[in-house]
Amino acid sequence: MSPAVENPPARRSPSPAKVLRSLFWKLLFRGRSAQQAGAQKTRRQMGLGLTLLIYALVGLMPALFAKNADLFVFACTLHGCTMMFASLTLASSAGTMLFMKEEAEILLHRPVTPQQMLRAKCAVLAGFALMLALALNLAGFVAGLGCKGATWRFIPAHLFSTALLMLFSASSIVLAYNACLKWFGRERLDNILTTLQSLLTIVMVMGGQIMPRVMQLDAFKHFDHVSGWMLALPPLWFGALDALISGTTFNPATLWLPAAFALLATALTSWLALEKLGSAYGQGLMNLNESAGTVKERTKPRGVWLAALVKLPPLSWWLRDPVERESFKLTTAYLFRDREIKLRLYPGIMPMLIMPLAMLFSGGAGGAEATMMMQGFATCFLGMVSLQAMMFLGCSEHWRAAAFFYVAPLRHWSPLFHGARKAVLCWLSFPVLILQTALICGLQRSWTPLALSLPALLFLPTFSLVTGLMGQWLPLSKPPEDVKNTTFGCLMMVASMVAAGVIGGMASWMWYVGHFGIFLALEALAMLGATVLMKYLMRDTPWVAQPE
Amino acid sequence: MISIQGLTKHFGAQTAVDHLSWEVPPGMIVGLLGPNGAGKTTTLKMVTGMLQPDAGRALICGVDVTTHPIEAKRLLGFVPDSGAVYESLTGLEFLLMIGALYGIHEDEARPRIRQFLDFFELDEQTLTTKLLGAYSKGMRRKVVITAALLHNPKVVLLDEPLDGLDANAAVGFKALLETLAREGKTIVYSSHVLDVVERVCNRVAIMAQGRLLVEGSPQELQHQHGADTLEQLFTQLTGLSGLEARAETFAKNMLS
Repeated sequence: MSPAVENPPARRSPSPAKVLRSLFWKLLFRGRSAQQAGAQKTRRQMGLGLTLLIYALVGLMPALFAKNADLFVFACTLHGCTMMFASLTLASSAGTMLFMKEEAEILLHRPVTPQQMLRAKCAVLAGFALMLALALNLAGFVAGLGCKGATWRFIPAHLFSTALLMLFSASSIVLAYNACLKWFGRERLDNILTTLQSLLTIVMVMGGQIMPRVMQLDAFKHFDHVSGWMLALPPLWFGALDALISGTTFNPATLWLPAAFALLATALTSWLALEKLGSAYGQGLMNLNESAGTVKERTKPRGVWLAALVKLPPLSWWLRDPVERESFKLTTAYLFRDREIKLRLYPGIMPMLIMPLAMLFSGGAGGAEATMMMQGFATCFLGMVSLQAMMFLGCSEHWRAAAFFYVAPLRHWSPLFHGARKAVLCWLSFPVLILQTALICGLQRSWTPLALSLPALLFLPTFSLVTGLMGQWLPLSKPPEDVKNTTFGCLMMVASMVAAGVIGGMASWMWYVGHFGIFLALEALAMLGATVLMKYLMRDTPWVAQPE
Repeated sequence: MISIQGLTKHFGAQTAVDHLSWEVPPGMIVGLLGPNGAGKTTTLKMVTGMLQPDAGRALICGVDVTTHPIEAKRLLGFVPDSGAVYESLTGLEFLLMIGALYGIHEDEARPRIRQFLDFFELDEQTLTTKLLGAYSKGMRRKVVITAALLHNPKVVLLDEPLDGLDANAAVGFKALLETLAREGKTIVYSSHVLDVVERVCNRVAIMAQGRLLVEGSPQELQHQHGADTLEQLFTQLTGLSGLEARAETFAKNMLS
C-alpha cells in the first residue's frame, strides 16, 4: 500500500482570511438576536434586493445627463454620485463592523492576527460598497456608450474604475476610523464616531439636494479642461481613468495626472489603513472593552448636573412623579453616554433636522408666503424627531436590564414612558426648535419666525404622546434589531408630514389673514383635549408581563 | 507548559499585573484565585495574546506568545468570562467558523462538534436553526466551551467557566477537566467560587494587587498558613478579615 493510501492527506480547510471574510459578510447582513436563521435570511435578501433596486433607480438621475455630454464629464458625474451615495452609506455602516465591542474576546485569542481581521473587514466593506455602486451605475453603463468619444471599452473601464473607487472609499473609511481608534480613548472615540456619522448623514442629505442642481449648471456641463482645484476632487481622478481607457474629446495629456492620482491614492490609503495602522487594530479593539482602557480614568462623579437640574424649576414642576423623574434621568444618561444609542439615534434623526431646513431654503424662491408656509411645516415636522427618538430609545443592547421594571412594584408603564418622552422633548425637540427658529430669525432679520414657532411649541409635546398609543412602551427594553422596522418608520413619516402640514399650513395661513392669536388659542385647546384623550387611552393599555 | 516571567501590565497610572512570575507544569489543574481587580483576567489575556504586556513574557509549551502569537495561540484554548459570541450566527456556524480558524476542515469538525453536543446534551436542531442571540446563558456557555476545546489544545485557560451552567452540566464539565488533565493537558481555572476550585484543582495560586501571593496544593497552603479551609486562607491572605462581623453589623443597621 502506498504511503498516500495509508495516510490519506487531511482535507485542507479554507484559509483564515477566507473564513474571516465569510464571517464578516454574514455579520454585515444579519441582525444580532433573531430567533430563526431561515426567516432572517429571507428578510435579509428582501432588504438587500430593495436597497439595490432603490440604488438602481437613483442611478437613473445621472444617466439622464449622458446625452451630448463628453465621456469624461459623464464618468465624473457617475463617480460623484457613487461617492455621494454608495461610499457614504458604507461610511455610516462601517463603524458597527469595525468596532464590535466583544469581538476581542471572541477572536483575539484565536490564531488570527488583527491585520487579517482588518483586511477581511475592509474586503467585505469594499465588496458591499461595490454591489451598491454597480446597482447605482447600472443605467450609467448603458447610457455612457452614447456619450461623446465613448467606445465599447467604457464598460470594462468603468467597471475597473468603480471597483477602484470603492476600494479607495473603503480603505479611506477604515483609515479614518482606525486612526480614531489608535489615537483616542474609548469614551472620546464614541463621541467622535457619533459626530462623524452624523456629519456623513448631513453631507449625504445635503448632497442629495445639491447634486441635481450642480448637474444642471452650465459651468459643469461644458467644462473643457482640468484646472488645478479640480484635482482635489476624487471623482475626477477615477473619471480620468475611464476617459483614458475608453476615449474622450478631452486632451488625454491633461488626464494622465488625475488618473495617476486615482491609482496612487488607492494604493496609499490601502497601505496606510491595512498595513501602517493595521497592527494597532488589535490594541484598539481591546480598548473598546472597559476593563482594558489605556486612557486616564475619569475621577469626577457623573450625573451631578442632571441630579441638580431635575430638582430645579421648571424640571422639578414638570417631573413631579418620582418614576417619571428616574425614567427622565435614565433616558438622559443614555442619550449622552451610550455609544450604541448615540450611533443609532443621532445619525438617524439628522435627516429629520436637515430636510426641513433644506426645504425651507428651497422655498425661499417662492416669496415670503411660501417661506412662512415652509417654516410652519419645518417646525412642526420636528414632531418626527420625538417619534423616531422614542423608537430608538425603546431598544438597547442592555435590554435585559428592563427586567427591573417588571420586578418593581409599578402600577403602570406610563410614568416610564412619560419620563423618557420628556427627556426627548427637553434635550432634542425643543433645543432643535429653538436652533431652527434662531437660524431663520437671523437669516430673515425678523422676529416673525419666533411667533411662527409657537404652534410647534404647543404641538410637539402632544404629538410625542403618539408612541404611547401603540402599546406598552418601556425605555431600553427591546433588543436593538427590533428598531429596524421600515413599515413603522414610513407610517411615522407619513403621520408626521400630515400633522406638520395641517398645523404648519393653518398657522401660516392664519398669520397671513391676521387671526394668528385666535389660531393659537384654538390650537392650545385642541392640543389639551388631544393630550387628555391620549393619556386616557394609554392608561387603558394594560401592563403586560415580561415577554419570553 | 506555561511559563510566565516578570509579566507586567499598566493601565494609565494603575498597575494591573506587577512583575508576575509563575510556572504551571503539564497535567495540572491550577486554580487562579484573587479578589476583584487582582489582575487574574489581565494575566489570562496576556497569556492568550489578547493584551500586549508592558514587560516580561509568557511561554506556552516553550513558544513565546508575544514573538510567535499564532503558533502559541494554536496551542491554547480560552473560555473568557464574558462568554461573548457572534449572536447572529447559529451555534453550528459559529463552531465551524472557529474550527476553520484552527485549520480544521468542516468534515473533520462536524464529528467533533457532535461529540461535544452529546456530552453537553445540546439539541442539534437548536444548534443548526437558532441564532446564538436566542440561546439561554447556559447553552451559550456550552458553545463557548466547545469552541475552546474543539482543536484539542494542550493548554486550556478558563475564566469563570461554570457561570450559567446547570448543576448536571457543571458536574460533567468538572469530570471532563480531570480527564483532560490526566491526558497531560494544563488547565488554569480562574474563579471566585472557592469550593469548586478546591474540589477540581490540584494546585491553587492566589493573586492580589497584580502579584502572586502563594502557589501550591490547597492542603499544603492551608497547613503552611494555619487555615482550616481554602476560604479562610483566601480571606487571610487577601486582607479581608472580620467579614462575618461586618456582615452582622450591616444587617443589624439595615433592619433597624
